[in-house]
Amino acid sequence: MKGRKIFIDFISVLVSIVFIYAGLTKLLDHEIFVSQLDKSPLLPDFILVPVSIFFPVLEIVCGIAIFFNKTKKLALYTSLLLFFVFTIYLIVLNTFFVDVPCSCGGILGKMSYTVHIIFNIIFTLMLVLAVTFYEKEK
Amino acid sequence: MKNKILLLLLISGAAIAALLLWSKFMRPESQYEIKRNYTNTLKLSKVFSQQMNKGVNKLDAFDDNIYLLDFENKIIEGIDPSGSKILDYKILSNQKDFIFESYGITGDTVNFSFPAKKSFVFGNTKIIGYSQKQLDESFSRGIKYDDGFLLKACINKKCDDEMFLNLDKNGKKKTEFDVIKHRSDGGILQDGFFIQNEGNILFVSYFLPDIFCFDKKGNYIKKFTTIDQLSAKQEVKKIGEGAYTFKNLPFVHQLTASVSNDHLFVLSSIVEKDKKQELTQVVDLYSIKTGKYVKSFTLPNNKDVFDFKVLRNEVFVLYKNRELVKYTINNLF
Repeated sequence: MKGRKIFIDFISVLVSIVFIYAGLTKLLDHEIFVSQLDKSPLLPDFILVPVSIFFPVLEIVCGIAIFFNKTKKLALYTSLLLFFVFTIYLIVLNTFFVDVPCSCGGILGKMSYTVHIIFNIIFTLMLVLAVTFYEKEK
Repeated sequence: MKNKILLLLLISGAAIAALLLWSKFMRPESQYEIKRNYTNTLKLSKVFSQQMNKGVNKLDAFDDNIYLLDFENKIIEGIDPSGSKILDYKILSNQKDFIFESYGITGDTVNFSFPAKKSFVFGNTKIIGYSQKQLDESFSRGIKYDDGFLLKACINKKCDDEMFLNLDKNGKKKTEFDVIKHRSDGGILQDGFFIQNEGNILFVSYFLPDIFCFDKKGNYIKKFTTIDQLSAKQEVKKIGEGAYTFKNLPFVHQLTASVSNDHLFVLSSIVEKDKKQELTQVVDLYSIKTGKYVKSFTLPNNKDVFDFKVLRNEVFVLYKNRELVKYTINNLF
């Protein structure tokens, strides 16, 4: 029981660090983030700016909400969904396209695609575990 | 409970602050902002200037002389470093379909790269007449070097992608260098131009920050990238079998280049944010040996440039108003 709670807290801290850091760097270097998204063949031009604001804000909100009991469940599920979507996006980019920069924010963008996909898969699996533990704890 | 949340938030906050600080310091030359090292001690002194014909739009350097191509009137004019005319060569002016991709001069021999006819055509500056070397390969860019030909050629009959091909002087295939990324775009995104000097052959990309290095025998050595990482999305569409074009007008990153000794000089069209208002013509200097960026300098006059070439400590600049200016360059290294 206690072990599960510690694991959920541990995952919450990790997810919070990654999301808030990534979200902040994307917003702080917004111009760069938009230019990276602009190179993505998967995103049509008209959604570039909305996407460039929506996702960083969602990341930051998730990163904070994950600590509070009232919002923890929603934040955990949203984080899981975000990591899942980001992982699929990276896999598609890495498999079918070349020379598309990762719009990951800050030092996360320095990782190679392969490392980044592994990183995301690990986080996704940890979040699956965290969500399972959270549901059982209820 | 509140204490626990506070503690977790504090831990996260501290880690995020540390990461933000770290990424700020770990960003020496941001990948997406160009940061140049301008040399302050460099002096370009104007030696002479000449007004060239209206059709002149290309400058080349062969055997330590400068050549100006008047494509409109099909004339190659050669001048030595002092500015004296050494050549006035009329290229098959009666043939309208003589559309070559590039040319080279060695001694009295002029060679023309002819992708449309899968051939190289050879002329002589002293004798009227031409000979043709027919090649088996379809190519988009080619250069004749001492012992053979180096081509950017189709990878297969469909020509969805390209690679570099090294041919001997008889046009027989020596080596393939499949080092161009396969994008199924007919190699158009990796289009560029060959340049050579006594030690190197280089392929400089127009639209990507890539430089491919070859030795004097046409053997691939390495690829390095320029400091320009701002490549915009350049979409390509297929218009026929093996034929591709850009969806929109592409942005040319490396306009032209010159190679002198072990250095590559690239005229970049990327200007720093704080210089965007000025009409600045920036030349970035790279070491061919290391593939590393060395420094940058601006060309005088703040006028649009067609082409430039560096011969040791001299820079020849062809401005778009067809003025050819020679500068001496001091304290470059």
